[in-house]
Amino acid sequence: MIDKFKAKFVEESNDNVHDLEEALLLLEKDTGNMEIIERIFRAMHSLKGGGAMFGFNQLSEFTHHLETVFDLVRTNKLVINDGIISMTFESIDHIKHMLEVGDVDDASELATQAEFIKRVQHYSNTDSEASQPAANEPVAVVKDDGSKTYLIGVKPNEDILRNGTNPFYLIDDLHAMGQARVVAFADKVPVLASFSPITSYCNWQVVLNTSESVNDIKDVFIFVEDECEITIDELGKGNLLEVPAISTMIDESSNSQTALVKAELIKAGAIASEKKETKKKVQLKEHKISSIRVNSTKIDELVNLVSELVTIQAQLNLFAENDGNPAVLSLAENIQKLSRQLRDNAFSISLIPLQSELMRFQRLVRDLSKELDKDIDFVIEGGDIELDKNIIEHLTDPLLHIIRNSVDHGIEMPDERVKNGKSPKGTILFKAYYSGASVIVEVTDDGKGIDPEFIKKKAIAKGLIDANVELSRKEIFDLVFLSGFSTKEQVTDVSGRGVGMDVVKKKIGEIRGEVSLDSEIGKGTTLTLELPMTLSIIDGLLVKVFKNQYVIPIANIEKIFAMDGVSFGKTFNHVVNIEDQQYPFIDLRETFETEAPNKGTEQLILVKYEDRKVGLLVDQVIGEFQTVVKPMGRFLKKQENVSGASIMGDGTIAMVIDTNRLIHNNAIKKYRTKN
Amino acid sequence: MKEQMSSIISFFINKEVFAFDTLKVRNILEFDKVTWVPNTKEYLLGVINLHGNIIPIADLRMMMGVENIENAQDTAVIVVSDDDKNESLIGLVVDGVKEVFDVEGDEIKESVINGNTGLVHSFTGSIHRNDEFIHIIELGELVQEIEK
Repeated sequence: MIDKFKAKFVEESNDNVHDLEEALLLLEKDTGNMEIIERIFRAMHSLKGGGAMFGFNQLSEFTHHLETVFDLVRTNKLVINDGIISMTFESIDHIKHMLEVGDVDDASELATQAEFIKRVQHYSNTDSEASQPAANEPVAVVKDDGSKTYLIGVKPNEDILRNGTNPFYLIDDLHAMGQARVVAFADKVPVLASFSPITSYCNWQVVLNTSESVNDIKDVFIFVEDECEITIDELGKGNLLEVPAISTMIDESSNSQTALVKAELIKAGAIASEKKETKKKVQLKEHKISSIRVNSTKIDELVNLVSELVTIQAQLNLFAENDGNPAVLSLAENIQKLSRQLRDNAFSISLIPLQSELMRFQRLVRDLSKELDKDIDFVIEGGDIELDKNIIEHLTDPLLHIIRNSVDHGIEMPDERVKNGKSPKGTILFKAYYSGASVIVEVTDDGKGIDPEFIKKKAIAKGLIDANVELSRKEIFDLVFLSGFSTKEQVTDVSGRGVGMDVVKKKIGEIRGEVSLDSEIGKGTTLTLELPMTLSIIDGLLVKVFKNQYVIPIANIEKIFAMDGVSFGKTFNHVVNIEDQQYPFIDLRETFETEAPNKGTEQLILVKYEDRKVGLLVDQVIGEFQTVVKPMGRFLKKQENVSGASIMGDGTIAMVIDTNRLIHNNAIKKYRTKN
Repeated sequence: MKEQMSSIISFFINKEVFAFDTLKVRNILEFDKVTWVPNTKEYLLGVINLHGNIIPIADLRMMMGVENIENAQDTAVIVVSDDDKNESLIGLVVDGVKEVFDVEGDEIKESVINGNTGLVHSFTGSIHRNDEFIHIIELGELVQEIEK
């Protein structure tokens, strides 16, 4: 029984550790944020308390010392610095380790632990006087009314007026959002003789107090994004305009025409709000259970059962239609409606936001860049995008590889970046968004990029392609994903552990995703992953090829044409002319090597393939079906043209065609040399 | 050879008798309609629907190089899994299932195979019983061959 509780504790503690890590990363960017410090303190406190209760005494003791450090921080007796943050990161790793092994008796283990505790204590023992802020200074108290204060810089390009944009309207919009003070910088305005009325010379800085979000502020500039340089920085909570020190700074800046400095404003604001923090009363919040923790195997089970239900329901529909009894028919329809809702519900349960997985990568980028002496910012956009938990699980390894590549090979050393006129700090942008029935994930670095010629040469040298084939830019970048291709000559510790991009492609392929690469020399590299939202149910078009039935995912289908044999008589090189457009097509009977290609009635299904459209020639289109995709098992994994199979209402099997893979394989065949 | 083996299931292929370890066998089915899967090896006949799972079917007779394959009333599918996972289930077509019986560990002797067994190279051992040789096929190797 106690083991069960212990397991629960470890599970919960891992959440706490996760939270701790996330908060710490935030704290690193915003060292003065009291809310984050509170969050860290709380997480540590739960770890300590739980540890003592469930027999993790060493964990509890260790966390106690760590907590002491953050208690000092919390009460302003200690100021956060890099040392503390790095120490805490290491401590988190240590806590993870302790959660895994529990209490130990091993002498060497105990010694390292004692050593670690000493290091932690080092921080809590430091003379706190020096770092104590001057609290005696009389400062105004800033009320935390839920609003925030921002510093916004607006620097229009010189030719912004040509488009009829009036920058004053933008400033007016900001005024409308709350209380604002504007500093205008007109020092660039030339003497009247050389003044051009259609050129903009001014720029502004606005200190804005508003309860709207940063995104709302961004929206003000949505139409002038390309014509202005906009910076938005948060200064702090509450209306900092009421702080006399900040008011004075704004006045001074206006008089002397020198720009306001973010850091100074934040400092002035923080002093004012510190007082408030100490005055804060302990509040008990109403506790509501808004979510429950469920074992993930239970969810898998639920999804499986629902999938079964959908299959059976399809059988029922078929039976009802054949039977013709109106009572049975209406019953079947009702069950269909219900099972659809149930299905959507069950699938939404297994969706989790990407964010949960991304924390690990943020940590990875931080650690790796420190190790390689690079300075890299990992920016996440669209972390709230939700994906099937099984897809996210499959995503970890490929993403790990991609991000490692970006850190190791993509981003250059800081001095090299400066030499090339870039900021010394590199950026890796992780961006996720919905696109139709898929989720697109882009990982972009602003590093040195890849030369397509280099890839081509290398592919020729490795015998992957013929020396004289003409390849499009995209086709060249696709070569990177062929097995036997790895651009880095030397295997480094960070990336290149013997696995190449072909593994990434394979892994992404396993979850019916697609991966592509684009790069510009000197500007950076983008890897794009296209992923399905759920794995197991798709809307498909049922078609017949020779004796078999196949399902083509509706999401990929553009149009269906009925074809007569005559128009194919004129086709050359597998290109067909429809409505004055030329499309390449693949004859599935030929590709699937069926015994006797039937050239009677046929239909052409136009499917999307990357930025092109490709036709698939089939014998007959049967109709639209919603089907549960089942895996084909380990023996048919090599069969890339079909991604799974579904069981039809009458118990027969229809294979699901992976159109992307099918077209890709057929295109590859054209230029890949034999053997 | 293997002391722990206690029960085997024997079957015919081209009038010879072979066997599997019973613990690896999940089902025995009649050979029925198979949905053909394109672009696969010749001996992979296709897939079937077994209680809602998709199971590939390989013709063991074809794998063992039998030339005149005839499907008759007795033709059967033995569904096996070498690692007890659902995704490793595979149906093997044989000319007929003979019997299930217990064997003592020391009854199993090293196999001496005369003649061609095609793609099946590995045997756990053979038993001599009632003037008949029964060769036990090593499933792990067989499965790896199919997976190649």
